[in-house]
Amino acid sequence: MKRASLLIFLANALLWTLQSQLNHYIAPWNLTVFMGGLCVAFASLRLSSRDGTRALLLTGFWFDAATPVPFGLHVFLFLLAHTIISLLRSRIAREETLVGLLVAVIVNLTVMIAISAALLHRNPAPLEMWPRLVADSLISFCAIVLIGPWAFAFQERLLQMSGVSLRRDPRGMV
Amino acid sequence: MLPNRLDQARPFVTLAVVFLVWLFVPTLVKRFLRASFFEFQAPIEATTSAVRDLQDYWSLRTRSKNELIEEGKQLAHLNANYETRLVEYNSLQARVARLEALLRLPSYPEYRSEAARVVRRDFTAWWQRLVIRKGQNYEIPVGAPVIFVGGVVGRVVEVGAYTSVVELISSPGVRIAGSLEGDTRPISFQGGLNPAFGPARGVVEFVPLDIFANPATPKRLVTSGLGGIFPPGLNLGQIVKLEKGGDGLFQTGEVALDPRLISVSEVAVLVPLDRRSSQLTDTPTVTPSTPARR
Repeated sequence: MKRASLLIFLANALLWTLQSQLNHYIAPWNLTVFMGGLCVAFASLRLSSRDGTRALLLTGFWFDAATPVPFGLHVFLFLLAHTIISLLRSRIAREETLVGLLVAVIVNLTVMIAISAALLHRNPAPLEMWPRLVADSLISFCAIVLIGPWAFAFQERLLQMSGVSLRRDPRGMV
Repeated sequence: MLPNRLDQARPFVTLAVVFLVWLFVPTLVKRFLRASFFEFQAPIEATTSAVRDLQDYWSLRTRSKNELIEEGKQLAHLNANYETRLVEYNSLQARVARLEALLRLPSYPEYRSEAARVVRRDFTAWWQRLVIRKGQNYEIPVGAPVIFVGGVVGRVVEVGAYTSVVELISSPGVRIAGSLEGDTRPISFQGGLNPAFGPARGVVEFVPLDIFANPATPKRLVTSGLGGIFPPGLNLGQIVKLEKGGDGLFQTGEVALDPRLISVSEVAVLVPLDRRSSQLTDTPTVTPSTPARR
């Protein structure tokens, strides 16, 4: 199932490209979109634990290479989120788009907060940044809600077209 | 119950072990990985930039001939203006050379300016960076100053094979030695305040007490030339607010950066012509019309 990891990584790279293009166009308003949570959600909810880890390892490195954060920070945060979701996913309706969106939004916000906490020391006036962070979080939320359903459908169809069947585990209480 | 709990904790333990191992991985390996992924991203970014240029080209094709004629006239006026400035510049350069020879002063290192298109703007609350479409293929060095029509853009922090990353002066990590226009006393400038839906701002420290500035009467902040990266006299922004610092000896304040900085699409990288001499002196000069070398 190495093919599944590679395909999901490529789909995540496409999502990153969309994100970077969106950021390029909204830069004059001093706003930023982050969609890392969307990359984590599908890999963690739909792939096997090992495939998800492989896909998110590559995705994390991809995000790290484009940002001036300690190399490996995105990898660590993505894998941590993946580990937590992997433990909880048998209890939730993980095939549902709405659940996927909810997970993506929560992971996205958590990762954004974690990155902000890691880079807090860089800003001369960090307390004055919270309106900007709220604005970035809101716009990222809107972007995930708008793009999320398409992204999930695209990744699922990509795997189907490549002959990879997604395992549907029996689940417990929702 | 204990074995079950341990089984649940196993993924977290594995992640912690991997994290600890990662901390001890040599920096060389990490740098190689980062550079590899960066170079994989470069063609994607260059392609999207080229597609954007193509879109602009086709949108310009829809304009009428009259509009183009008007634009051509305006460009002709601008060219005439620039040609006059170029003559003035050459005469000033000749005068500087004469004075240098007369007073036996060491000649300042020169730069060639390398114009580059912006491929990607990445303006978060924690970093403000641009990716430009020129890299090692145009001999862009790390640390080279980058300017635009409104003054200083920032400096090159990463150089790839075909692209480079520029850290903007509005980025919180950037510190530059500045001074007021017509004043030689150094002032510390740092980027950092980047509110949503507004232009980027910076902060100044160690401003002498006899300087006053407010939004109605702002003071122009320029580069001082100290540090040897930025040539002196380049525009940084306008000091719009000053208040006494905690120690009472200096003032701190806010700097409004050029509003065009956040929508910049074309920049010029100043590449030192003689790297060794540029490191030795700290007051370099700029030669804007030096031909580019591949």
